[in-house]
Amino acid sequence: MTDRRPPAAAAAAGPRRPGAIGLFLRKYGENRSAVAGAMLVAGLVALAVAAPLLTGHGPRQLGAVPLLPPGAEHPMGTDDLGRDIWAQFLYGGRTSLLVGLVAAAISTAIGVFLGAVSGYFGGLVDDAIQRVTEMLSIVPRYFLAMVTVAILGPTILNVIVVIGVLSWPPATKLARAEFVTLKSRSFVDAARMSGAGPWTIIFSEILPNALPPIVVQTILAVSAAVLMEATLSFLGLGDPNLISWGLMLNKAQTFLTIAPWMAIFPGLGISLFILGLNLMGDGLNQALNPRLRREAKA
Amino acid sequence: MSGSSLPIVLYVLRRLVQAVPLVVGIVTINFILIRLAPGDPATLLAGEFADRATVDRLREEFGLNEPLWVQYATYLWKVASLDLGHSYRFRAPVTEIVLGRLPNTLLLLVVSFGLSMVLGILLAALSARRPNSAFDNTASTIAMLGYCLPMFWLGMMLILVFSSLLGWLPTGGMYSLRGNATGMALVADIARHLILPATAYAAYFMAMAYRLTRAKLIETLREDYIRTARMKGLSERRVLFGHALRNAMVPVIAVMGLDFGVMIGGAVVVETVFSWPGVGRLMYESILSRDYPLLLGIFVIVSFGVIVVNLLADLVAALVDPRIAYD
Amino acid sequence: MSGAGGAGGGTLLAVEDLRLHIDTYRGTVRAIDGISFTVGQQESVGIVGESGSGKSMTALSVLGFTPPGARVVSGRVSFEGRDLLALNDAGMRAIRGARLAMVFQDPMTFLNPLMRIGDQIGEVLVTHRGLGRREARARAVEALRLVRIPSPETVAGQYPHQLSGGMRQRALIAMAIVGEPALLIADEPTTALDVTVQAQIIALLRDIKEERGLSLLLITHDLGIVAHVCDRLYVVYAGRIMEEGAVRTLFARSMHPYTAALLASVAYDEDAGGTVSFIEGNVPNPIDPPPGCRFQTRCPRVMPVCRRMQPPRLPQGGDHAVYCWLHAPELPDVRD
Repeated sequence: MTDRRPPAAAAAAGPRRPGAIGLFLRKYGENRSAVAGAMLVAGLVALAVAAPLLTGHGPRQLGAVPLLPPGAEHPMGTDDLGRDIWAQFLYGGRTSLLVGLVAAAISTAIGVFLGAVSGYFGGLVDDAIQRVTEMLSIVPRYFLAMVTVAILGPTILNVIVVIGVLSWPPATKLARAEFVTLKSRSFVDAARMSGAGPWTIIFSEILPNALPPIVVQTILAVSAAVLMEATLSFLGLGDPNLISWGLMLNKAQTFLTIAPWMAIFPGLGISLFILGLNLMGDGLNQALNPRLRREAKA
Repeated sequence: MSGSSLPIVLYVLRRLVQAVPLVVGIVTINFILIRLAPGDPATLLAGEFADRATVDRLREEFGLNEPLWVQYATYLWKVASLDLGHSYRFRAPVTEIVLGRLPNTLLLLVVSFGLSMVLGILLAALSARRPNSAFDNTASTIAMLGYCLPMFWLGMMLILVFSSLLGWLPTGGMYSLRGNATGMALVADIARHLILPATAYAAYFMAMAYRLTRAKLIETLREDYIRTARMKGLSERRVLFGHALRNAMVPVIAVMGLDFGVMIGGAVVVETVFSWPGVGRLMYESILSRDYPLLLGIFVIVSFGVIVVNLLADLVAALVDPRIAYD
Repeated sequence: MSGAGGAGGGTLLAVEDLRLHIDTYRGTVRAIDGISFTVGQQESVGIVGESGSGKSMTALSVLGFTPPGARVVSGRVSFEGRDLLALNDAGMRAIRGARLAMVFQDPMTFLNPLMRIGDQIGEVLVTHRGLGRREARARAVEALRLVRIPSPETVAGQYPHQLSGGMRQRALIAMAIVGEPALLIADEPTTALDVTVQAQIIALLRDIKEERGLSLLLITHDLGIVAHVCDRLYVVYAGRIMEEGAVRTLFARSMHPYTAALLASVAYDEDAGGTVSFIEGNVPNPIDPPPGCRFQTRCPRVMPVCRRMQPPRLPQGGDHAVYCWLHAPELPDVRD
């Protein structure tokens, strides 16, 4: 029943060409929620980066009246020690951003490497990596992260490394699938015939072609890392020397009913950041995947 | 009725055997963690304020003066015989403490999980029927929010609105009438305390179930056998629920089972926010008091629980899809 | 054997000037571009064409299955006196499975993998006759016996993956006939099967048609099957009919160059799979077809008029008619 397939689908399934980037950006731009997601993320990143320019208060600077509701001087109010919440919000964003980016970079690097090796070489290596990946996906990740950080000590480095090292299975599964499909393509055969070694083929031939879905996966990994960092901080497993949204929420618990602004703003920060990243991920996926796109259209 | 149940039994046995390395793996992770800790592992297990005698006794008990492989074997054996050590905060065996809290967590889990699966799948079915309709867009947006809002913050906002502002529901805990309530009054009391934490927890499950089921259903509705079902003149409802949903559920069950390890993490924050006296709250308490034997013990028991849930998910999938056990 | 007024009397299905267009990103595909045909009571009619000719789509639109983005631009589909295109969903559902049923191409993918064969067949009766599950199952076993499945009781309790391809196709046929429809549409019912099984299924379809006194509309690329099963046939190319008539007439003296080429391909290679590859040239682009005859790009006897004007239906006596300028009594005046 191939005669019922619209020819446009066949065209869209073709190889990714460099000239397709413009088309891709247009497709992405058509997706309103994806654009909104990108704007959310960009906005929050800008706030975090420009933190010192946006507030006259230091995040730990004491002196104001404690538990002030939001007002002109303190747009998000003050906390129980009289510190400015807007300043904490801005600097807390920096922590989320730092942990999110570095941890996602670690997990993606591990994941893509293992997935590439697994998908490209196959055989016993593949079996072993698959087994370990499956094991790590089943293990209750949050519990393991809590135990590990609690034992190793809650420093920012430990938090980042633990999140990164525990979060690679999704990237591995994705990279493996991509490498399994791409390794039988003709350009790989061509490279092999021209005498390229396996590592050259993996990194300079296949990886660039597998990049778009990996980028999407990385964005989602950032979102997962941000959530995990916030959760750890909320439970008192964040670096006590760094302001973070999760830590702010931990403190806010005690004062929830008398100073709700202490809870509302940092939570909004985490939620909007994660929401923005996920909307971006969904939008990119739709723009990259012709089948999903047709669905959206039908 | 004519289909023999033998393939299913064999399948379950096979999965059980495959779970063994997983169990060993988790115990090994624990063992590594103890060794990884800065300082003396015996001190870690005894607590910082323990006296010399306790530390020495633990060193002996865990064979910490022996070579590494003996330590490992000793540890494996201890866990296998369900001896997870002593909590120095509660001064009681870890296994006993955790199992005592487990029913409360199971209650929370089962209620929120059941609620969210039913609602999430139903909404997904209605969405997949007409993708990009107003209903689908609304439901998908709400699901996106449920997927992205951190549970602990959602929980705090629920307390703010429904307890603090409206005063409808208690802010936390499991009972108000402790001691002097029995029968239905007790059940109603617990139910009142359960509503908010279950909602905070279920929001994420529901979003997961919704997103997964919707995607799989849209895919399934394009299958050829759906056309056969329509050819037979079945109603759209029958096509959707009788044919498409059953098929779409198989991968959904598999994914939900695999992601259960991540999802269970929410129990810690939800129980913390709502002071729900379960294993998650216990985890938080042992983090605060750095009660390492308890921390490690909770991790082991929760991991085993997750493995069991995984096996159950496999079993359900095999019962729904006869092909799984067949090959 | 004879025409539209065939063996059992009146016309059962009449499709008139059906046009179905599909909107795609690159333009509008004219998948069906003015097809008319009839199926008489207890008659067996074939629609023959290459893949992409619109023959499957024609069958699907009769049942009201149009792909996403497809629009029925014009046409009438009357079945047992009712216009199917004008029916609402509920009206169409009452007919599907009960009066009008279809057997699809690939028995591997058209059976629900999670449902027992007996339940899938019985479901038709549960829906249309309000039977209970038990009784429906019993009738399903009967239907399985009718399609010559050995030990039907066992098969009724089995799942599709436990059956061979030929068995599954028999089960699908049982599913189609269990509601005792007046018309059975079979869309390439043997393409996905082994050659030996193909012959059995063809024989089965012919027998069932005779035994049950139903009409058969067979969609295929294979003229050999048509010769075995059908009374009349329509040759379709690129969304239009090229030639129509009784099977014996067309096989004996085909008048359209395309029919001739198809017949030659059967003689040349019995297993010609799906395409008639040795006819030179390409199928015209369905998005922006040139004016005139659709076959002009591959026709060995193409004339200037063929590139300008669509040939009219030219009756040749009896049921036989051809759409080809070669047989026009006089050609319209065209100048390049």
